[in-house]
Parts: sequence; structure tokens; C-alpha cells
Amino acid sequence: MRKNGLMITGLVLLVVIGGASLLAPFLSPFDPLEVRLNNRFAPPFQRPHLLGTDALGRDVLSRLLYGGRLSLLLAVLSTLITLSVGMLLGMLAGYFGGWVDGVVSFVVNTFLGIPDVVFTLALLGVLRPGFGTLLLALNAGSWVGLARVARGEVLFLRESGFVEGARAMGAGAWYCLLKHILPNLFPTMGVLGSLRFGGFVLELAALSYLGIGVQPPFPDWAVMLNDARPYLFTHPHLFIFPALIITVVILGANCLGEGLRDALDVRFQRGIGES
Amino acid sequence: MSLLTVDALSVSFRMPSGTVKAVREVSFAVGENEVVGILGESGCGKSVLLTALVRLLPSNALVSGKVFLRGEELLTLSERKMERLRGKKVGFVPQNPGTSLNPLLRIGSQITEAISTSLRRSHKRAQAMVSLQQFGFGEPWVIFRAYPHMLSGGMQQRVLVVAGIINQPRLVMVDEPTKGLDPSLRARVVEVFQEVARLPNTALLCVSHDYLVLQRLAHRVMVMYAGELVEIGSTKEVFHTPLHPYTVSLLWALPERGMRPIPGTSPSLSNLPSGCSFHPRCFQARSSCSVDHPSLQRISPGRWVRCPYARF
Amino acid sequence: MVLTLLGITVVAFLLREAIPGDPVEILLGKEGLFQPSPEEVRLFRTRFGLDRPLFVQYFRWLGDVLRGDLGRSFVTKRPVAQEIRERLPATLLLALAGFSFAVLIGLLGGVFLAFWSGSIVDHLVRVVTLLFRSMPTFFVAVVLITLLGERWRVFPTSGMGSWRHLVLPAVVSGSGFGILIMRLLRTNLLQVLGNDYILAARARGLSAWKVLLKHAFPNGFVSVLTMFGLYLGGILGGSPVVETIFAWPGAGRLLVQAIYGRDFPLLQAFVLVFGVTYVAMQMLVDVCYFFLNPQVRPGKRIV
Repeated sequence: MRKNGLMITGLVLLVVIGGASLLAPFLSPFDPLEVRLNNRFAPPFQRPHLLGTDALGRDVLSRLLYGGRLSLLLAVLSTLITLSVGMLLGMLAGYFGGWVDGVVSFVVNTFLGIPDVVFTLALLGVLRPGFGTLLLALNAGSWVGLARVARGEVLFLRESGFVEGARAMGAGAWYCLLKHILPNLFPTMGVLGSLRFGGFVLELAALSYLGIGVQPPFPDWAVMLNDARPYLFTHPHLFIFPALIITVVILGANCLGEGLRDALDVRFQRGIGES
Repeated sequence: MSLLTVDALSVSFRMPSGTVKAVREVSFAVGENEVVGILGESGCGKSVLLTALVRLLPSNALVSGKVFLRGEELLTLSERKMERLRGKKVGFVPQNPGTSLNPLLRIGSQITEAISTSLRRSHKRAQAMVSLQQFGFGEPWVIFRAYPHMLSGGMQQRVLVVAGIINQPRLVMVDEPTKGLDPSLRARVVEVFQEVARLPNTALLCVSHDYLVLQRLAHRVMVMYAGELVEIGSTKEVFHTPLHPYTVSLLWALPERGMRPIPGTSPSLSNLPSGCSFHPRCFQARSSCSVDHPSLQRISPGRWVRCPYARF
Repeated sequence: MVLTLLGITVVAFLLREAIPGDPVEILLGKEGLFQPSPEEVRLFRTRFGLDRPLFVQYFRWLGDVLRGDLGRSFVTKRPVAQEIRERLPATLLLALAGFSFAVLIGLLGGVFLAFWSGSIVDHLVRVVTLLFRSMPTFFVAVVLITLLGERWRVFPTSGMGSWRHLVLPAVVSGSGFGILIMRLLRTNLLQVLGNDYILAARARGLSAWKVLLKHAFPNGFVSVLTMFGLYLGGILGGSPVVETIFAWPGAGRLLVQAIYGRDFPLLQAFVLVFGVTYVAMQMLVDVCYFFLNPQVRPGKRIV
């Protein structure tokens, strides 16, 4: 797997921002929630508030550093859950076929028929707001696409030589699955996972912007965007900084995904398509 | 003046792995009404040669030399002028008939689009039908409206022939007429192209790895190896009294002559052997063969060999 | 296909089970204003058949749905079907406009990029589109609103009125997918251009442009077409956000408001309606594909 610029760029971006978010308590110069009404709207690029302050006098840089923690955590967890569930069900359906495949495929097709976002929104409207709800809502529909791809790959792999060879030697189904099929799924899942991660960040940001995701006063980036809306012309920096950060994170995820996809170009000729 | 004169034509491709020399300093001529065949294995550069003559090589190709069509130099023509030649003065029948027709368009459309005169659609359609009938299609209107996948390989090829000759070009280039087709169809294929050759004022330049086709079709034959012409002569001369060791070996490899395969493999065009390109596989190679690169020698009028030790 | 539709109805129905707490209590207690007595709850249940097994309830509900009764909104008390029916045309209009925009720039851009592939323009566009795709929808929307709407006052930024109101929301809605179409078409065209029949057509004397348009484009387009269903669904899915930002009076905006108001019947109906619409659109795309690809159609072999 030839490393390329795109992939490295993506990786670097994500690691830097992820690391900064993780180390926020150490890096942050101020308390992100501390309100200082005597110091509102401080302009950026001046000490001590390097990126200025917002409408309530809170330091923007600190809020940016802390801002990603919840969204990134949610996005990472969601990606892991989606990948796990999708891969597991896809493998089961693809490998065992028969009624297992029938049931899984039925569920997959059903959920594919409902636009992802709609189902997420519906769940958010029904359940009580909270971390768990967000997690569930984000994942409810997204594992489906991955499951379908995984199933397709497993179907292909199942017929390949080394699996048949293993079975001829008496290997059981689970052994085959774990040792032979699973590792071959990783590259494709890696690409889709990276792209999905970017998608989750995007979705979460949109939800928080609308007020139905992460709630204030948590200094989430999208919440900051929402707060900054009235002051768009007077103090554009309040809007631009969070927007840029979100864009950079998604860009990083996309670069990583695209870079991985380029490196695995041959495998994608089989028509997985853009998602 | 001959119809087509090729003068020291060379084609190389710029690849990430290096430069590949597909055609090396090839020179020959084709006269009016003549049928000339180029014989060679896969990968010897013969298809590239044909494609170079109509200037449809990919963008990483480097071409040098001169090509004259009735005195007009082709390689320096503008693209627009070249388009006016293609399909009209110079016809082309591509290889792999199965994939040389657009699966989404009807056959008729792919024939009439080649017709160069600004006639009305109904006239073009009529002209296409006449041509189809001429080439053995009993119900041309059915073919006209059909899609390529409905036709057999042989029929697809005949359709391509029709499209290639519909403007009565003076020179028709044929690329590997038997490739991609069932070998039992060979006789039929030869018939079709003999029909083409019989068209008035039509010369044929046919490239093939199939010796039997060329034997029955061509007046003159040129043998190509690793991008070079190694033997030229009339069909009878080359096949009955081959001079170049490669030609001799080729004929020995035929089932009806003993089926003795040529040792070794075709050389990689990016890493050619030193001296004579054939020497690693030659049964009469001498020590000087790996050093000196032989040039084409004239034995008698129209008879050339690229080997100093060719038997006489 | 029918199976999928059934599945969607099941999912929509089961959504009710996801509500925390007893929905009957919530309904009766007007969301916590007062606590209903157990007797009231029991009466309510029996009256509305909520004490029957889930199976039965599902079929009763399905029957209602097929007759057009989707319940009443908690918030406005009006029939849900009516609420949605009033707003669905606006959403479909926007989705269509956005999709048209996407197809337009996608097809033009794809052909353009395929023609100039390998050049600096091509690489530049690739970088720019990657950047653009990483920007959240609302970011793009806000930028456009600020620049074109308020600074330069070219287009109106909210509500629905003249065709000018449609422009900005359609652009925001469709640009993401337009870029996807562009890239997909470019890749497909380049792949198609390597095919034998392209060479054959050029050898017949057709000009480069003619070959691109007549031979390459149809073949490249067909595979893009199969993705159209997905993209249409994506545009529908983006409607809540776009409609809210631009105050477009459509069903998507209603959905968001339903979330604020925890209006369950509305939410359930949305899952149903959006799901069914999406499946219908995919069927439409399949039909188009069937017509466009002669190899899929039955055709006799000529001997």
C-alpha cells in the first residue's frame, strides 16, 4: 500500500486536531465557559485572547479547543459502531446466505429506503435529548450502507481460493470468517469508515447548528456557529473560526478516505461507487 | 508514385517504467490496388503501426518519420485535415469486432455516421443498406435497426468493414481480421476481405499474426519482429522460400509444417537485445549477431532481408 | 420492492415503541401539565385499541394510513396528512430545482473535465471540489446568503415567492451532489474513452467532439444514471437543513419544527412519506435505466 500525499495530509490534519482536542485541558489558556461581560467582542490576533472573545466575553481559542471534544467523540464512537455492526451483519449475511441473508437483506433494503437524515431526525424528535440519544440517532441508519458493501465483498471473498482451501482442510465457518475474510474487509472498510467519519462530523454539526444536536452552553463548534449568527457582519471572526475548524476536520477525513481509496484503486474497480 | 509511402517511421511510448519502442524505422510502400500484408506475432508493433498511420495513437506516443499518401505528408497535417481523410480517403477496419461497436447505439447509426457526403438521412440509409447487402446481409434493414450485441462476431466484423469502406477509400487498413473470431470462420473472413480487395481502386494494408489469411489475401508480405521489418517480398517468395531465420522459424511452428515452437519469448520492447533483435532465439546466430544491428538488405527487386547470414 | 415498502411501514410504526415513557400518559397529560389517573389511561387505551396485541395494532394503523389518515399533529391538532400535503409540493419543487442544478453542473462539468483531463485546470478543480465538499451545508449557505443575499442584494434569502427565491436554496441543495456527479461522469467518460469503439469511431472520421458527445457520453452517462436515485434521496435528506436556513415553507422545515415540538404523529408520518417517496424515485430511475440500455431489454439474436 503505497503511501501518498493525500492520505498523509488527511492523517496529519486529523491527528493534529484530535490531539489538540484531547489535550485541551492543558493547552487551553482560559476556561471556555467563563463569562466575562466586561470583555465582550475582543478582536482577534491580540493578546491575551489570541482569537478574540465572543458575545459573553468567553475566550474563543479555548472554546475552539474544547469545542471538538464532544462532536469528535461522538463521531469516532459512531464510526466504530457503524463499522462494527455493518461489518458483522454484512459478514453474516454474505457468508451464511440462506435465511440469515434473507433477513439481513430485508432489513438493509428497508433502511436504505428511508433517507438517513430523516430517520435520524425522527429519532431525535422522539427520544429524550442526551448523549445516548445522539449516538443512537446517528447510527440508526448509517450501518446499512456499510453492511451492504461488506456483504458484497464477503460474497466475492467466499468464492476465492484461499477460503475454499481452508474449508477443504476442515476449518470451521467462524475460523474462516475471522482469519481469512475479516482481514480482507479492512481496506475497503477503512476507506468507507474515514469518509463516514467525515459524514458524521458534518451531520452532527448540522444538527447542532439547528439546535437539535449538542446543546449549549457546551462550547461545541456548531453551537458556536449558531451563537455567532446575529453578529455575522459586526464580528465575522466568531463565525469564521469555528466554521473553518469544522471544514478542516471534514477535509482531513475526506483526504484520508480519498487517499486510501486511491491507494486501493484496483479493488474499487468492482463498482462500489461514491457514497 | 505509390499510393502510400512510409519513410523511417518510428513510434515510441513514454511510460512510467521507461520508453517503449514499438515501431523502429519502418519504411515501405503500398501501390494502388495492391494488397500488402504485415505478418508478426502479438506485440511486435504491427497494430501500433496501423494506428500511427491514421494518427490515432494515445497522447503519450512519440512519432517520427514521414508518411505520404499520394504525395501528401500525413504526420504534419492539421487535425481537421486528418479528420477529412479518415473514413473517406483512408478506411480502417479495427480488430476485436465485439468491442469495436458502441453497444448503446444501433448498427445503422454507426454506419451512416461514417458517410461523408452531406446527403439527406434517407439517402445515407439507402447507401448503407446497399453496402450491407453487398457484404452478405440478406435483410439489411433488420441489421440496420439492430444493436451490436444481437449480432455474431463474424457479422459484427462485416458491419465494421461496411462502415470502413462506405466512402470508397483508396486505402483500407485492416487490423487483425481473425483476432477475436472463431478460427473456423477464417475462410469466411478471407472471403470478405477478398471482396474488399476486388472493389475498384482499393488497396489493402492488412496486419495479422495469421499466416494463412495473409497467404490467401496478400500480393506482398512484410514480416515484422520487435518493431522492425525483417523480411519483405511477394507472398509466394516469403512463404515458399523464406530467408530471415525468424520467418523460417515462424513457418516451422505451424501445425502443418511440424509445429516446432520458436525457443524463448518475444523481447520486451523497452529492453531490446543488443545487435540483432532476434539473435537470442535464432538457430543460426553467430557471435557478431549480438553486436551489430543489421540493416535491411536488398536481395533482388522487391526482396529485402534484415540478416547478413540469410540463406540464399 | 413491495417488501421494502412494507418494511418501511413497519419501521415507521415501531417508532412509537421508541418513545420513552408511556405515550398514552404523555398524550393525556398534555406533556406533563397534569397527571392523568390510571382510570383515564385505561379508558383511553381501550377506546383506541391500544390494549390489543402489537400485530393487530399494526394492521389497524396500516389500514388508516392507506385510507389517508395519518393521525393528528400534537401541536396544531390538524390532520397530519393535510399538514404534509400542504407543504410537500414546496419541498418537491426545491428538490427538483436542486437536482436540476446538480445535474446541470454535473454533466457540463464532467464533460469539460474529461476533455481537459490531466491539465492544470483538472487538478485545480479537483482540489477546489474537495475543499467545497468538506464545507458543511450551512457554512456554504451562510456564505452565499451573506455575499449574494445581503452584501450585493442579488437574490432574496428567505421565503418563497418569485423564481428568484428558488435560486439560492437550489444552489445550496444541489451543489454537493453536482460535484459528485461531475467527478463520477469524468471518471466514467475517461474510462469509456479507452474503449475500442471510440477508436473505431475516430477511424471512421468523426471529430473528437462528436465522438465525445455521441459515443462516449451516452455510455458514461448510463452508469451515472444508476446513482441518480441515491442522489435524489440525498437531496431530499438535506431538505430539513436547507429549508430551515432559507425559511422555505416545505416539509423538511416542518420536520425540524416537529422535533422542537416533539410532535410524534408528524414525525412518524415523515418517516413513512420520505421513505415511500424515496423508494418511488428509485423505481423511476430503474425504469429509465431499462429504457436507456438496450442490452437489458429482450432482443432476439440475429443469425
